[in-house]
Amino acid sequence: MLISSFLSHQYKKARRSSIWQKNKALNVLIFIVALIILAEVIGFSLILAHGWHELFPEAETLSSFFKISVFYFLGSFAIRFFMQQLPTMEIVHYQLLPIKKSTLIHFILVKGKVNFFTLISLVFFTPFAFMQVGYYEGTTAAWFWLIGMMLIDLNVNYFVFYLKKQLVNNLKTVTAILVLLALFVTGDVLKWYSFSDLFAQAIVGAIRQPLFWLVPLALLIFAYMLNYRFFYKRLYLEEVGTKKSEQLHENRFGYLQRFGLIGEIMLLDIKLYIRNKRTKSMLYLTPLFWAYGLLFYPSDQYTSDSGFMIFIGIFITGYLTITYLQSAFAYEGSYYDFLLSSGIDFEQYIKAKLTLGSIVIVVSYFVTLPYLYFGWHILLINTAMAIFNLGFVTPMMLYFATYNKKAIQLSRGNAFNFQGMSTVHWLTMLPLFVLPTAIYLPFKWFGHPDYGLLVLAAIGLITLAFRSFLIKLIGRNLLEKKYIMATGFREKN
Amino acid sequence: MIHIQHIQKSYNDTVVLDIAELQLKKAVNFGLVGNNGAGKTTLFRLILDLIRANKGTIEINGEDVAKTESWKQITGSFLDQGFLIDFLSPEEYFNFVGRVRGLSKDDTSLYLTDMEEFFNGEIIGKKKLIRNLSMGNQQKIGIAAAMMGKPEIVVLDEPFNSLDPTTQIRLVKLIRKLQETQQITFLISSHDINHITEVCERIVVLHKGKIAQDITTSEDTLEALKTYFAI
Repeated sequence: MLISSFLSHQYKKARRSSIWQKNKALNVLIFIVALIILAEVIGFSLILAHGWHELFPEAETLSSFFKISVFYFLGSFAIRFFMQQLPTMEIVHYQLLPIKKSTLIHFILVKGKVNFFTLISLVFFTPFAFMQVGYYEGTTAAWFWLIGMMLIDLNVNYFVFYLKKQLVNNLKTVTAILVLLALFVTGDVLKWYSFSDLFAQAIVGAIRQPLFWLVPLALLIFAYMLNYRFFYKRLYLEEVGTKKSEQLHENRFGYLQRFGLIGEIMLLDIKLYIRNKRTKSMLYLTPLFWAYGLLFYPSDQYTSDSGFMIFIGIFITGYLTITYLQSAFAYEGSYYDFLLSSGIDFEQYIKAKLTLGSIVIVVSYFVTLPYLYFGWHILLINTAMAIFNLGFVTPMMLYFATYNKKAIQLSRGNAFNFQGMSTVHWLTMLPLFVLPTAIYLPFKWFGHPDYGLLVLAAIGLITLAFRSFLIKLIGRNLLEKKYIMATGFREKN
Repeated sequence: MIHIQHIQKSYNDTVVLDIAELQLKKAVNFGLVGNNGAGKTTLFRLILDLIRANKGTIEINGEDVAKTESWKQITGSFLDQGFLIDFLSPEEYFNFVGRVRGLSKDDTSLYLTDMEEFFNGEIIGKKKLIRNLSMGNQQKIGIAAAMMGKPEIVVLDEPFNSLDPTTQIRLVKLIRKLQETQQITFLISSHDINHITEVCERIVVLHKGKIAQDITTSEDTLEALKTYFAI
């Protein structure tokens, strides 16, 4: 009874939230993407389960897969850590009612168990269970194995809850966990030790002696109790909510203040990024985007397609700046009325944002300089694209940013949160990637790809020279749109 | 000082504000009262050029607020939480506002020392971000920031809300003092007719977007307002 009304409240909350209402198209898109991912996992796991025994000699068929599943769980741990929301729901509403504390906690915990990641794991392991484990060890063993794997998966799930609840917003611990995980994996791959072997042996043992599966079950109960006790002790208004006293690091970038109002505005934006959950998690992801090139540069197949390399170049040197400028005003939506009435000079305000964006591009450029390892060609492309980003892309993104009328709630969610994003966001990304490729490709087709790069860099330099004019242009646009923007930002969703 | 002419604002054909003419004089505090939906906040937003009027103009010192910017330098305001940057500490926020208003860091510190009584020791040096402070303390920060940099006009929407009784009384005193010493003109809206009669020389009652009464405050004003609202 109670549980079903909780569930119905949750459903209503999701359905009636304005984000859902306004963003039906986006939700459908997310749903489709989720379906595609699921279909891909199904396909992948079927192929894997079908052909796995051909990859490894018979004696190692199963154990080699078990070894790999360690990395699956580790990966799943990392992804969950960053993407999974804590299932606190708004139990605050229920705390005043005569509902047992334990019911609430059990609800949170059990609901948190059922999620997309669990589903993925189920889909991933099922084919292998029956096509491989079943073939070698019999159907009963396959069932046990599948259940065992899901138990381990749930273990990962609950330990992530616990860790996350303990360590939210703590930069140092998050970094420490990442480094530890990386070391752990590297050590295993380089054969300093072999945790994966150990794990595989344990699983093989458990297949022979099903009683061993009680170990993950016991662990799961332990993890569940750990979470339960944690929540039980902390189920008070001020602790369930996100409001926590935050430590203050003042004047870390104090020297910026020497640059007058422009420096002050830049400092404000830096603080905005560091002190809010959503933007902070975007910062965490930046190294990943810098490393994006590693996916493509090692392969000749990609590097020979220089049109695609242009795209990568824009992305690597400009990603953080693009996302920053694109939402530059929407980030400040919650205090936009103040900015409008305080008498801040719009041109200085815009200049500050462009300057900060440019600094980030330059930093990104130098950080990714080591890609030189993959050849001069890469460096040339990235240099041209950095200049193009500096001169052309930054003002363009800021110009389009005035079309965003929805404030972004900074305190909520992570980097994969789409609140406050609208079609405009996606539309403005389009010219960003189409335009440079369109300029470049004709030169390539006529056999002078380097001229194409030169032209792109030249466009960057020319627009850079006209920056003060562009600032005026953006300023005029901002002035024109200010009522619409302010009205949009004032709407709380 | 402020001249409002034929101003009209409507949303979806519903007129929410319609004022033929209103002229506000320097150093004469102006109070705005009225029930919910009377158009108080709308009027303040129009004066601060935060929304576009459908008709009419508002001038501050002869400048149309929708077409010029310089009036912003002499106008401080605090309407709602949308005027606070909640991920800053109070000190950082005051420094930022100070910088925008052309104050040096020392000017700002000096100003904050002056405000210490109003803050009641709950704002400065607490090492907390604004978003972690209580509503009342956030309100104090907003009000104090609106008065920075010696403005000529200060616009406050419901300033007495969520302030504790002591701070309410201190705010009344503070407004009185600044009006006398710096000739600041306050524009204040409130549901609290007691306080508004204490600080304003002129009170306008809005009803459904129109001026229902325009009163020069006297000893009888409080009673008059009480009778007006006791329908």
